Amino acid sequence: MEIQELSSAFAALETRVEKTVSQQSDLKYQLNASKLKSIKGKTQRSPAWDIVVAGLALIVTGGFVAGNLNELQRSPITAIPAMIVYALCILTINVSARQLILSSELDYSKPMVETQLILAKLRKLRVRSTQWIFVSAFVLWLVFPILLGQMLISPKFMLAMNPAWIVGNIIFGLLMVPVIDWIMIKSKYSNSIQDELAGKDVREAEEFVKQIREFQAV
Amino acid sequence: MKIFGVAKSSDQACFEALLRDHRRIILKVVSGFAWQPDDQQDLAQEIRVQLWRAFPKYDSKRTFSTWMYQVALNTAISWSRQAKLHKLRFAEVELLNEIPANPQPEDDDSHLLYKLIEVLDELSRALLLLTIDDRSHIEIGEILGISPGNVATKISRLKAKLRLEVASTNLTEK
Repeated sequence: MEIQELSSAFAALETRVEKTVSQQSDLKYQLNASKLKSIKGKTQRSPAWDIVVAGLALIVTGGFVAGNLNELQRSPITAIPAMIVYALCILTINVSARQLILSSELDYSKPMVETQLILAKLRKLRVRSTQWIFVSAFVLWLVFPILLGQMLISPKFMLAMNPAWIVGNIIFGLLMVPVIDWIMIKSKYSNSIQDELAGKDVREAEEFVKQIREFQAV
Repeated sequence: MKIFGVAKSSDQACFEALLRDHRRIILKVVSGFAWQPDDQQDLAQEIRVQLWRAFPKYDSKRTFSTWMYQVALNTAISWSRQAKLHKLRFAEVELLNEIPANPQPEDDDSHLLYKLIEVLDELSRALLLLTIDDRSHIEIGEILGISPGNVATKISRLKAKLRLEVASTNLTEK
């Protein structure tokens, strides 16, 4: 079968597809039905929200640190939760901003190789940020209630807590990360979040980037 | 025209007219990337929506068909990759239901065509569609984002691969 023969076989195929596709020709209906379905929309909504939340957390934490600077300086250990929240917020804003920049560069009317590379990078970044949130949630969740207690009661609230309990929780969180990761990989009924946490989607995106690079090369 | 919800009716009329004139491009791209009727409808809809979204940025100095191919192929590849992930996730459910991969082929040519398309990755599929549509190497290069020289090399490799595939399919059937 040569290209010419392929071409006529394809024409027959197109005629068949036309019958299926022409059943849905009302553009207005399609636009309304697809408002929430846009690929670009899906990738843009979440990072913007993440930036807002992280920005608010940064402002609130900053207010707490500024208001209790003397007390935190007297006992530097009590400043650790605020510093960790600061670092997490800055990291979140950084990753989300990068996602937004990539999303804004996304243009389906640009050459295929260029657009698909941006999409693959975007997917990789999104999966990596999900993995990061997952790991930090298990290991560092304790920081948030401690900081809340410091804000509501006193910066010394942390000193009243049992250090063994804090360390124990962090170690438990660290141990849980590989366990959950293993469960995700072995999980029979997979879904998108599980795939992201297990890194399957990253591997898939990396493989596609490799394919695109090979396609670009002569 | 730039805001999605408040497009002028004249823009929409112009867009619909262009879409009608070039509807075969959508059919061709859909034929190369989706085989189930539901999938074909879904992909055709997604392509039309992405075309409409990209339309405000369309530069009338460019050939409409080239621009349309770029949007349609980018949409189809993204759609196909999402569909592939979805199918991998629900592979076991689909196996239970015993849904055939390609229920549509009715004749030998279509059957062989599906088999040939299946072995190609998304980027090569795009190249095949453009080659079948008799687009020039320059235009294919513009759509795909590679040089015309590279297009020529890729087409000859694609032809060789297809010939091999046809030969092996014929041997298997004998």
